[in-house]
Amino acid sequence: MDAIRLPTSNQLYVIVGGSGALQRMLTLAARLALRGGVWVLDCGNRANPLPVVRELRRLTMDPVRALANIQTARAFTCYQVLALLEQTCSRPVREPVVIFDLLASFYDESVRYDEGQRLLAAALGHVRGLLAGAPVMVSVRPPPTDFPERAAFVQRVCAEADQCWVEEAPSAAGVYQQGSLWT
Amino acid sequence: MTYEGWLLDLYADGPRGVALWLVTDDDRRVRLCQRFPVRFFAAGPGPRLRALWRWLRGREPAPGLAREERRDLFVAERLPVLAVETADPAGLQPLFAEVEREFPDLTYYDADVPLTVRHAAAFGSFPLARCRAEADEQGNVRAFEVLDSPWALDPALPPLRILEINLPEGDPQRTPPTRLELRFRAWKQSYPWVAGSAPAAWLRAALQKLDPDIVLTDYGDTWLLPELLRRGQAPLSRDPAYPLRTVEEHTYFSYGQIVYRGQQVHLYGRVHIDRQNAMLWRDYGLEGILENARVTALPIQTAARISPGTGISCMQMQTALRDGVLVPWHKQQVEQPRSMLSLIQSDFGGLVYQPRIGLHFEVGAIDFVSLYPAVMVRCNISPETQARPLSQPPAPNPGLIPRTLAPLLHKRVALKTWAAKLPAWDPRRKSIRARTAAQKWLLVVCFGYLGYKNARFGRIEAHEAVTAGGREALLRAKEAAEDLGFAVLHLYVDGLWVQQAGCRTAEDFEPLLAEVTRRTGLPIALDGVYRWVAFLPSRGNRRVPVGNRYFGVFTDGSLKVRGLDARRRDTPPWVTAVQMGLLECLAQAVSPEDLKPAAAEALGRLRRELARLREGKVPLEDLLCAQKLSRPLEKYTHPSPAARAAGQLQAAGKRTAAGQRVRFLYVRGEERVWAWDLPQTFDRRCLDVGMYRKLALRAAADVFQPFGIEPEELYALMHNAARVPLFPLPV
Repeated sequence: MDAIRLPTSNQLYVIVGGSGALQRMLTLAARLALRGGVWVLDCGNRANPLPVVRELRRLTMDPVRALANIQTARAFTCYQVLALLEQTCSRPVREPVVIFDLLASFYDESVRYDEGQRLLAAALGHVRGLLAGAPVMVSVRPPPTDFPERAAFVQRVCAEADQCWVEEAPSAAGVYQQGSLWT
Repeated sequence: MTYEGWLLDLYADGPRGVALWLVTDDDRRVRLCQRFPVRFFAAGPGPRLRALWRWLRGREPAPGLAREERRDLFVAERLPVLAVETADPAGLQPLFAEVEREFPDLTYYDADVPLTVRHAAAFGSFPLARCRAEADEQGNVRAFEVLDSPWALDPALPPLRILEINLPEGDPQRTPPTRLELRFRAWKQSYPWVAGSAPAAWLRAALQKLDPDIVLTDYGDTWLLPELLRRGQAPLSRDPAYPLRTVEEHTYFSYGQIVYRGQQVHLYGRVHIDRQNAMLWRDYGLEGILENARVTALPIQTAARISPGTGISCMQMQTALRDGVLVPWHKQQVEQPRSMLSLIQSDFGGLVYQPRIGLHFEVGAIDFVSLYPAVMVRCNISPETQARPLSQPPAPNPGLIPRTLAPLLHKRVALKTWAAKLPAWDPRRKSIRARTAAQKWLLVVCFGYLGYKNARFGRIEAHEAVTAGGREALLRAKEAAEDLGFAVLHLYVDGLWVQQAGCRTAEDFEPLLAEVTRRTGLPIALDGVYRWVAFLPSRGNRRVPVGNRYFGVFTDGSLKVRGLDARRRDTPPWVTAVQMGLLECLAQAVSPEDLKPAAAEALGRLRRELARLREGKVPLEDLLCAQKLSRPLEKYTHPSPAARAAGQLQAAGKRTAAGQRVRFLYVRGEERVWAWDLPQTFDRRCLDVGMYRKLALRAAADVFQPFGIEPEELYALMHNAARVPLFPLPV
């Protein structure tokens, strides 16, 4: 998963992973902004504009114009995530939609598991609605260790995806280790 | 029968409504009962509301049901809602839980509003309010009238009976108690803490004889009261129908910090406050708690334990209920989409101009009074309104948030003005200071609450508008200062440090204050005039200034310290004392010429303190570090000193929850720390004297650095006991 390809059709792309996946989503948002309008829905307070600006600076002489192409809104609870998707769905959205950290607020300990399930089902319904007009890219993080049962939420999102990328954790065996200089 | 007095407690009393406890003018404690039906609302598609209506109608007993139109603050049109009313206030929560489980797709309002807040909205009641009640023979209230206002500056309070239950040895979970001390006014009695039921019997006798209104304890929530009850019955609550209510311990995040709240024990008809478990007891004590309860309308024992954020949220709910605005159960309002460029331009915090590093003489420090709340009121910043710029006159129809804050803000300003006019010996000054401290915390958090994800009436754009208003106000103040010929040394969110040759008294700064108020419309006050103030650089890079790291001496000789070790709660008391002692030496300097001998004296003092440490004369208690566990112990991959100490305690069978402080000493050896509450006796020879010396020298280096002694020079001086190559002072 070195780079996320720019979407070519109205499909649902899901990226599962931590900070690496997030970085790639930010880069993707910047590259999409160069082509035209893009919607960034930040569901985990993760869409830091500064990496987007840095990427745009690298790619264009006019980053301000590209930044103006990005329409963004944030949601901080799973109820707001649902409301944000519902609100976005009610607009005639024709530009790609990038959803950051869709499940972050669904991992909140104050949200009951069954309530989270219900809200996620409704949210995914709106995501499907968005696909009628534009491709949608969603990033999700695995649940924290306190809530292993909420891995089912990730599986639920992945099951909806047309394409799903999973960021692999670096394995210890794969890490290059220098041999001793003295043997 | 008519009763006149003060409202002490209010709680749900089954189908009869609410129980009211009055402290009457003739010093009786009277329990009355008032019918008080409560409601919640459901909104959603018509067929679903009809289904809910049918479901509720089939219940036994059926709640009152009505179709109404109500206002949601975030929706332009009035909403058709189903009102669900129950005569039993305590029955609302279980009923709502069932409804929410059956109909999770509906939107709910007014579902979790505290009972006292509902009563306050209906009758204007609040704890310790003067009130009049007419009741029948059985104590059923026929008429209830509040004769008081929470905004009264000097209210007449009831003569409360306060019983203190103390454990002189401190935390019983660390050190098993040997004595129990009861104190009531001038009476004080100490009892041995013995096995069996005797302590409970002594407490029972005291409660029956003294009938206190407030039981003030240390560790009463987490240990003492449960332990006493385990040993025997005692009428802790005044109401025999309701023994007591416990709230479980919990840990949560607040402003990026992990906070631990111990178990709570609430009484009925009587107030229990555990000083160790009360929020901000050290800041404002009982008087601040009573003020908090009066302005938020929360029960006294709740107001003592909840965060200021919950308090301000309850005040907003009251305003909403009075205005007929629905209180959402879950906030669903989201940020309106905007361009990322606009986000970058607007999502900023407070304005900071980095200070000019070094020592400055005759500096005026001026602060806006409660800047952010004042901006919210002045610019009418509320989720449902369009913020007005500072250049325009105040809005004629203020929004929900300014309406909530304005009386509190005005009361605080009025109290501070009143206190400033009172002579120094007047005992009311202390009380006013406590009350304004309580109000300050409510005002501080009201800004953060606008951006808090779970705040019912929060909105992120409004939060951004407040910081924008604050930046604008500070810039206008800076321009005003510069136009009047002042040099601006530092700006920090709501304060300015300014200097002008010849300006050295409060009167010299009055024209500036008047000009800033004229340009911003916001109240501003002189914090004080410094004889000298030192702005410190970063420890990592001495060329980089740091916003809020300074110390200085006002013209009255008092010190102000920010960002130094002495201000940190995890600094050992001895290090704090060393640093403050050095500053007190320097504070004796009245003129720049006096600084040189004062600094020499401070160096001598530091030498003596290090010698005391070396010779083992510093008590171990003064060397204790107290750090918080930032997460549960098992989640540490690289244990901090606090985690290592907590691990030692766990091995000894003593549990420490995330958010709790752990006390430890630095020791030599592999573990490097020694948990203070371990049962074993500590061997002083293990103490890591070098570590404490390092901490003291680091704290001292911050003090001496502005006077021309660099940290390396200080370490060399203390190591070699060489003579001081004093200064030159940057005068």
